[in-house]
This record gives sequence, structure tokens and C-alpha cells, in this order.
Amino acid sequence: MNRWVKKVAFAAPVLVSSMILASVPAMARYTQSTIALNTTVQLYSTFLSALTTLKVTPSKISPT
Amino acid sequence: MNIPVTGGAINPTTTAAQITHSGGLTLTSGSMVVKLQSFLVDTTGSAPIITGLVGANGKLVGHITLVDLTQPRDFKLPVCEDAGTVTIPNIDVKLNTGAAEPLNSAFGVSAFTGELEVGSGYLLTINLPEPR
Repeated sequence: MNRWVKKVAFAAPVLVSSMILASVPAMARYTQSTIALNTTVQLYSTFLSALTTLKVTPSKISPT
Repeated sequence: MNIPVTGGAINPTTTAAQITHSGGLTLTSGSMVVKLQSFLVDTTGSAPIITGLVGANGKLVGHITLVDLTQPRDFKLPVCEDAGTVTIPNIDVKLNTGAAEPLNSAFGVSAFTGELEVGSGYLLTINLPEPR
């Protein structure tokens, strides 16, 4: 009996670890990393006009 | 205005994402220069937003929510992926209430208000190959 208990005690952590590792690729498929591209924002002419009225000049900061 | 993406991750099934950018925007009036930079598109919260660092004449004002994003009415999930590129078009971009106060303070005006329509945006990201 003790032998079986020892076997189960050894196998359980291995089994749980295997299940966790097996689930990692399945989760990773749903969150995909991104690399370079752009987010584009077209500023409305009404917003730019409002800035002009306030004498505020917008300009872009170049990427470093 | 193109803002280069520097990194991040997006779930195309839910569009939950955090995407970092380089570059930014400067607003100048007389001797006052307000810099908005380190933009982070964050759609993981209760509402999609863009946060960023705000500085006035070289002094850090804070890391604040700059604009609120609203997805188009005809938007459907999951987002379409074409050759590894995710595109979410026609996103409504409005000034966040929290960003209006520092802008008004910096320029001595009261014209900046929450919900002020700033523009419309396209969120574009490109995916790395799937992990193996």
C-alpha cells in the first residue's frame, strides 16, 4: 500500500506540471505580440481650427 | 499623424491590448511648450484609452489618460487579420476630461474639455509568428 502511495505522490506533481505546460501554447495563441507598425490618428479639422483660435501650434515629436 | 508602434500585445478575439509607441505631439503657444509622448493604447480596462506622459516647459506633469477611444458602430469581433496585420478602423478619438485640465492650465484657457473631438484613428498592429 505504501508503495502505491509513494508512486501516486511522485506521479501527481509530474502530471499536474505536464497539464500546465500543455495548456501554455493554447493560451499563447490568443495573445499575439506585436512588432513595428503605426497607430494612425487623423486629427479633425475642427480640432486643428480650435487650436489655431487658441494660438496653439501642434507639431509631431519624431521617434527617438 | 502616424505614431510608430514599439511593442505590445493584442488579443484579436477580444481586442484586449496594450500597445506602446514612440514619438509624440508638441503643443506650443508663445513660450509654453506642452509635450505629449510615450503613448500607450490600452484596451484592457473598462473603456479603451490612450495614456501618455505630459510635460510642460520641461517639467513632468504626469502620466495621464489623454483620450478616450470609441469603436465604430459596425465594429465586430473578432477583428480581421490580413497577412498577419490587425486593422481596427474608424476609432473615434475624444479628449479625456483628465487631460483637459492640465492643457487649460498650461495655456491659460478653458477651451479644452472632456469629450472634445480630436480625430479618428486606425489601430494597426502586426503580429509576430505564433509561439511554438
